Amino acid sequence: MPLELEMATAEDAIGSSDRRLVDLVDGLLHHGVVIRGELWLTVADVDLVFLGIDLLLAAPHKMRASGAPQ
Amino acid sequence: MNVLGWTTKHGPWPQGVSCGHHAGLFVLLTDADKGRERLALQVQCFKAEWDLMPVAPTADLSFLQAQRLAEDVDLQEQMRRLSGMGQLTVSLTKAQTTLSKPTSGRQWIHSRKAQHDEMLQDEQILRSMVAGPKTALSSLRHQADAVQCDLLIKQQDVALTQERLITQAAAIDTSPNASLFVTGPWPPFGFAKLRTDHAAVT
Repeated sequence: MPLELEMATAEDAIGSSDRRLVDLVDGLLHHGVVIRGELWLTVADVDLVFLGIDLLLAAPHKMRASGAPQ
Repeated sequence: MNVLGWTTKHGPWPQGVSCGHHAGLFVLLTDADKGRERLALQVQCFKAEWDLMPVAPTADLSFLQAQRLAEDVDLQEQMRRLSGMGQLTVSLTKAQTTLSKPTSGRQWIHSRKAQHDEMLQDEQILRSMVAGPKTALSSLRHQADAVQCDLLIKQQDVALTQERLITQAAAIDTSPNASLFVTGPWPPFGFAKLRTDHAAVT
């Protein structure tokens, strides 16, 4: 199935209530970066251990502005 | 007042934006205190001339801090690099599927691994779509159900780039819950390198 494509101008994105566009604008506003790491320990095709970590890297003042404690 | 960004043009600028001058550049300033309002003003200023080196909308950079920043960062060089440029933000999103509650740890690991493999596949699709011999790309960003990146493009290349993405999207065979969002052009937020040891404003 072909990939569905939607386009929006910057003005449309800022004024939109579409959750996907709101998330996108929030990403531009806050410029946080998520580093995602996942590790599986597998023996003989049997998954034994899973280790997952998501780190959000952002400037402290941006985290505080988002509601995190000072 | 907070800095929206730098430009080489004199305006006129939209209501709510005033203009200062330092380091051989014009500095655009505003009293707007909400990030979204500042972003809207930055977009208006950018669209007027395609000549804006933007500060992150939530950075709260004062004019005094901007003057100090000019001592550490070659703003003129940055401005030369970004003048006439904007960014398209490309986001590959997947509609969230409702997963049945795992009945065992093993089943949970398997479903998590499937999600991870799908995410890698999405990254691969996005990279293959946006990569070009002369295309500057930001690093990939992840959200709960999306992976996205920014493309730095010249003003005259916007329509051509959008057409290329439309053609490529039509040629990709993918799952029905996937969609590609192309937004912009935006001011080149992902490509203004204004970091110093003292402050990070982008």
